[in-house]
Amino acid sequence: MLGKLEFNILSGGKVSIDLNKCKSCSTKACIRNCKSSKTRPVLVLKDGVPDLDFDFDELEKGACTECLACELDCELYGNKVVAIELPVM
Amino acid sequence: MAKLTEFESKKIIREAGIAVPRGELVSTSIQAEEAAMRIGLPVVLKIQSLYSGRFEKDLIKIVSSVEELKRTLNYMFDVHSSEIRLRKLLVEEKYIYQDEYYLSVVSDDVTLSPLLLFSGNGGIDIEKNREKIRRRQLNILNGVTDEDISFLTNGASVNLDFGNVIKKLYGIYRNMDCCQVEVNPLVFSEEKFVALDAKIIIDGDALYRHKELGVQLTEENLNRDPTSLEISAAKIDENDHRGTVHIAELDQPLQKKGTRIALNCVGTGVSLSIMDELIEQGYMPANFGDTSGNPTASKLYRAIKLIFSQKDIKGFVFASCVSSQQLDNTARGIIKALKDIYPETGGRPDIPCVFMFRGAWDRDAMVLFEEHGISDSENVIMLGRDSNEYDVACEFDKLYKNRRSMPGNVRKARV
Repeated sequence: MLGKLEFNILSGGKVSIDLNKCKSCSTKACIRNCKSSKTRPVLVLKDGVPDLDFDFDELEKGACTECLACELDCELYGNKVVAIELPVM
Repeated sequence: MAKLTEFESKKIIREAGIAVPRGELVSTSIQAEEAAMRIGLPVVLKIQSLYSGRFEKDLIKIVSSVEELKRTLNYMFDVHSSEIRLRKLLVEEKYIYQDEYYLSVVSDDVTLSPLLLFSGNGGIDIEKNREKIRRRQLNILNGVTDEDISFLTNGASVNLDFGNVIKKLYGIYRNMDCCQVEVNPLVFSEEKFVALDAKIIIDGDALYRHKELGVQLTEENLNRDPTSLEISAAKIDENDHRGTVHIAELDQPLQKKGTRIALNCVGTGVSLSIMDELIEQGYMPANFGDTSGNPTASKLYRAIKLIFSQKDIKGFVFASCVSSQQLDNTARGIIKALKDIYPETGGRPDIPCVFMFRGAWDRDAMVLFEEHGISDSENVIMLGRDSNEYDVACEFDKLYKNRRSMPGNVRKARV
């Protein structure tokens, strides 16, 4: 079992990816449009599933640009396993 | 910008060492009577609201007897509780004085430096006596000098205490990151200068340094309490400075005048233009909305969720100015919000919506709407960079009338 990849983001939300379903994904669409505040993306492919190229601390401080592309692209072209919770206060 | 109430402003002014009248903040008529007895009649009753010109609006009353006090309190709490949502009343000692002065430090947008303003004709008629206000631009490195004070008073010898008041007021301006600190009137009574009324406006971008103030909303010129939606919208920017979200609900009397259309734009000017064009077409914008400065998609998501949560919305308009904002991110935020609001249709709205994308990544934004099937909806019209604000309103009008002619097709928005 690969479990879930989860990390908090600056605005107060949480990104969650169910890695168990990522193995069978042929597109890895979540990685395609991933951006960060640096020159490399947040999500990278490692052992056939998405992994983080940043520390949790960096992501919570704004390294993730919160573009939502991973969730929306996974929904259209992947296995619908990325969920981004964005609480509205 | 965050405008503080008189009571909040006076607390800061008193702590800086400038005298203010003894006063108590109360919430009920009984508390007000008890405060008046403690202070001693005559007292001044001042409703704490952000309205300007409170004296002319009957929001400030001077009472000299117990009977007058009871009668005035009944009036204030009965009438104003519904009209201006009276929640706090300042009961203050009444000062006897002769002259009223006007003193203010403001951030001058033209010279980008502090500007000191003074008039010997202060009080409620200061607007009528604008030509009598003396202005002195300050060097922020030097603060207030004796030359500045001498210039303001036109060379006249002044009470030493007056110079200290100016310096203390300037100290507040600097230490509290103000856009404006104003005392009007400043009076000389009982051998000291006393600030009878005061106004402080804090720079919204510096509010994070003044959490002790508990300011919930930094929008400017709201002469009323913020709504819960506006407070929620302000929280979107609270800890995230990547782009900005500004949402203001239109006041209730205006909302009764037409079909309520929600809107969100990229750029304040576009938002105001769209509001004008919608009104021309016979609609009434429910809100002002601006998400600009290249905000994250998550900010757009939250803004759209809040905007669609308004009651009795009959349509929605989104328009961007021609800017460098990354509109594909903007589109993603909108799409995620629509999918949350309309899960059973995959984000296709059940109210007429017009989306106009102009600027950087605008074509990507349009493609995203296509990919997610939202632009296929009969309730959606997509416009690109060859359109303008007038087109948006006209297209919305055509769409709204077309959809309304089909029974059951124009419904309330839901969240």
